[in-house]
Amino acid sequence: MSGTEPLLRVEGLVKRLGAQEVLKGIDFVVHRGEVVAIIGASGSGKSTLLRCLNLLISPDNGRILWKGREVGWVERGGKRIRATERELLPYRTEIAMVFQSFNLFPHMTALQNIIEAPVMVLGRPKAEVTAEAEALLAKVRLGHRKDAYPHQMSGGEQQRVAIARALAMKPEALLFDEVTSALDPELKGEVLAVMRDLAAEGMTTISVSHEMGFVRSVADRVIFMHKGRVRESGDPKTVLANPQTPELAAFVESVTD
Amino acid sequence: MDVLLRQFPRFLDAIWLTLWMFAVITVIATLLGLALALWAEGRRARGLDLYTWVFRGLPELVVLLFCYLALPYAGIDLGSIGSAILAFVLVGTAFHAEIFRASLRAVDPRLTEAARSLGMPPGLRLRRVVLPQVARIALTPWATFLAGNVKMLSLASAVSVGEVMMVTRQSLAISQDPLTLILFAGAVYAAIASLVMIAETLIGGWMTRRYGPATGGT
Repeated sequence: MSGTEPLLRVEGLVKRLGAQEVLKGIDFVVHRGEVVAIIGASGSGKSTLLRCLNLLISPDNGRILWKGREVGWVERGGKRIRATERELLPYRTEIAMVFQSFNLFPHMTALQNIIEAPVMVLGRPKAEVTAEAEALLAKVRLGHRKDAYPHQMSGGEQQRVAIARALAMKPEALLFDEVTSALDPELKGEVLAVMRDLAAEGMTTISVSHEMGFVRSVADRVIFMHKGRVRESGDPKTVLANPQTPELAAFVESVTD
Repeated sequence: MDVLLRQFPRFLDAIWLTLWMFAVITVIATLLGLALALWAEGRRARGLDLYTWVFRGLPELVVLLFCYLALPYAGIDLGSIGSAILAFVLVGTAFHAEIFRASLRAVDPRLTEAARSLGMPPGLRLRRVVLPQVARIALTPWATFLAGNVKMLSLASAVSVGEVMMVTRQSLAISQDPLTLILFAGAVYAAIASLVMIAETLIGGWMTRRYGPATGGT
């Protein structure tokens, strides 16, 4: 089965915030090595969906299967109950996340930010992790910034450190939550270049993005969300060129490349 | 002036007593305040609310006299210094607990979210991510309270603690030159408070230069 089972399978995902249903039953699968882009107007539930995927927030209904096994629930005394925060931690280390606002730890240097979780969470030897972190910094073209604190770096540099921090966990998939939205136009390019590199290396990524150029040229599949539902999905070139719903047509019209 | 000179050895003892009482009270009240703030996090801590309301509201002198005069009736006789330390710890803990509660709430929740996404368990998150931010956010209100607290220690003379104000009042009784004595006592308290304020400025400035603004650079 493992040959055909997708890396991630989402079935009927529902999330309510108060009285409002933010996600109204989301289904999709992600295969190993796929680059999936989630697009949609603000308020369509994209970021909520991404946070449900690594269970930063718990869905109210539906299932998330990671490598064929359901996550977020455990069996105890013959009863199916929600997993505790501690029980979710191993899963989160396999599906790392990069945030819109970088969220680097401000009291740690670039290098310390990267080695923190591999050393303290995975318990790996510091010397080995440091060598890997330096290689990751070089990969995101920041080898010269390893001793800089976040406040000394530009937004583009901070975001590339955040990507290196996520990669240092050696995750099997990466979640990108509008990672270029907080950046000035001239800084978006350097972050998108790193995302292109990752896609070329075969990294599985799920990105919420407004960068239509990136979605068209890099994504294997695009998922268009509208009001908590997946309205269209498929090959980005086809889907974006021939919208089947008025909502996607309006969205494509409204966004600029 | 001659009274001040003759009493100087007693003043030195009094300054020493004031300093170590301040240190003991500060360490105990800070740790208790922090512990209570952490315990109260994400809870409806009605008991703590009541406690901080009472002890932030009551005059220090009332708490002091209660510990010194009333507790012995309950079989708890701590003596002058013991009563003073208990009273100031009771009041200080209330203030520190509120300072740390507010600081914990002020930590950017996005840092906690990032730590969770990296698989960091709650204790590790607290120690490695949250508390370093709390230290920075709490530094100024904490030091401001302490600078005020130094002066409050002069109230301990009311329960016969032989600290600076006590010795000053005894010296005044035999002096023809009260102004010098009063100014001297004032200078001692102001000097201790100034040390706290200078330390706060230096540490705060150093942290800002090294780590950027306290509320995060994002």
